[in-house]
Amino acid sequence: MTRGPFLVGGLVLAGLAAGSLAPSLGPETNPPTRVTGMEAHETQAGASLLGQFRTTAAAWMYLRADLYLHNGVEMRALTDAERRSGHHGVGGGEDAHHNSDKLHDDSSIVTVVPDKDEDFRGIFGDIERGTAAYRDMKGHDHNDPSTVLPLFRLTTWVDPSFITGWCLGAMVIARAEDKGAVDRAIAYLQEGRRANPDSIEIVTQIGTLNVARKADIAEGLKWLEQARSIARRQDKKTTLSEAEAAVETYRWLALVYKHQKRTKEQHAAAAEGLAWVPDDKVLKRLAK
Amino acid sequence: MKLVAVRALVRGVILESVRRKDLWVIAILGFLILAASGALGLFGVKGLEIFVKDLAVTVLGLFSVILAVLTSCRVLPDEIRNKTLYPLLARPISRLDLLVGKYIGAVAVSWLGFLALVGLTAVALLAFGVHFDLVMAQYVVAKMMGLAVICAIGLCLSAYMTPNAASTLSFLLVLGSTVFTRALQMASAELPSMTWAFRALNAALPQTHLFDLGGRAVYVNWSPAPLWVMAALAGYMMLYVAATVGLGWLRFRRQAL
Repeated sequence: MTRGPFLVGGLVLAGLAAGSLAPSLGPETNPPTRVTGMEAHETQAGASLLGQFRTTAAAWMYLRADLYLHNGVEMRALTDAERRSGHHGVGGGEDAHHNSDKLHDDSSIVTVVPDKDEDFRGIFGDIERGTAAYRDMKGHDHNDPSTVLPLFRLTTWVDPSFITGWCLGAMVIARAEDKGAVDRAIAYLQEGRRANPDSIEIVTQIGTLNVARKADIAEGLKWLEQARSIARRQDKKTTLSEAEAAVETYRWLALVYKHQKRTKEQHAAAAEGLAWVPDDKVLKRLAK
Repeated sequence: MKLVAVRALVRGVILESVRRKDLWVIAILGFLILAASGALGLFGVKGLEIFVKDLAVTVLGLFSVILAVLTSCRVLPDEIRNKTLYPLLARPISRLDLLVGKYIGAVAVSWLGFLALVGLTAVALLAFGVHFDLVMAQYVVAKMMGLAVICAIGLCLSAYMTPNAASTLSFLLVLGSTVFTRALQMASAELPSMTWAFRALNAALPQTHLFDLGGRAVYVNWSPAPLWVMAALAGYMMLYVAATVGLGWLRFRRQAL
């Protein structure tokens, strides 16, 4: 009797066993990664080529969200050479004050299709400006961010570890003017927290929404302290965006304690935050 | 040029495509599109209209390019490999007639496949109440012009290299068209003294991304492209096709078979 069938059977069983154990590798091979705006083009190889489907699809959809906000006009970050030569981005428009909500920084982005006076291509450039979704974006405004909410929802469904999708999506939900908007935003973030229990950013945002939008200091403090424990556990060994979120956590904690006149806790939170970013002006002021 | 011969060659390319079941690939892709849209329907497309249109245009663009490149890169080499070229050339047709006939046949197959995909996509989207504006018609026309340029590139390259090398290079040139253009723009910003060289290189490289009106078709409140732009695209298409098919003929006319 040949050994072939037994060998094949053994290999199949080994493959099945490996497959059943593979998910345990998930946190190592697929750690939650954040893609921030145009950085996706540089940090997510999968966004440019092919990669793991979920992260790739989520990164691709996030880039599309940026595109949707600009109604199809492709934007890019200024190159180092352009910054050195004094080029400026297109800047925000009437709703420039809204851009502080980190949708993106318009001051450092320009259109991918260049303006006529900066285009060496002559007739080819004119044709492209006629066929592509292009217009002069100086002083532009954005489409209503709520139009990209379904996309954020789809992004987090495809890749629940895509933290930006949860946080930005919640921000957009909370912008709505009806009474239940903040509760819906918090519910959305809670779903994100269940998928990403160690995300400082998500937990911090739950806390800040409670404090700033619902005036529920006790509830907000509970979540901010939870974010603080996660930050302590991670001990600065985290992504850049999570580190930024950690600093945000300490700022809010210090502010809340200051509001409650709990000076000792205020100083402790500020000091802990300064260990992350020593020259943060807000924390320095709160640490005094 | 013998139009009768060219017509017969075009018919031959289409029949060969059908026999080789290339258009079955389109049918399978079409089925996948319908299945995907059905899946989206389960989740609801409310609020996702732009995303769905975006996805549709991306898929249409990619699949039509794949079909055009693979068809155009094979029409000549297959004839040579199968030795069916000899009886063809034994007839009173010139190598130029043959090349033009094969080219038009490749374009016809690409257009048929593209239009079939457009039809299936339109049915899928309309079923979900997602509508396209008039600019979509411009998108279809411009895309067809673009496919004609792509077929010319594939055919020309297949005269100089193996079908696999020709397809690879064609994909690089077509799918990388935007990347090359942006790279040249940035290089020009860094080295203004060399702008003349970048301009020449930009003119030589195929500008297939110019034929993509997907951005205007997908997003809202975009007017159709001006008429002069469409006329310029048509002019560019004719010039570029003439140049590339001509380049291919320069090689093919002297090629030992």
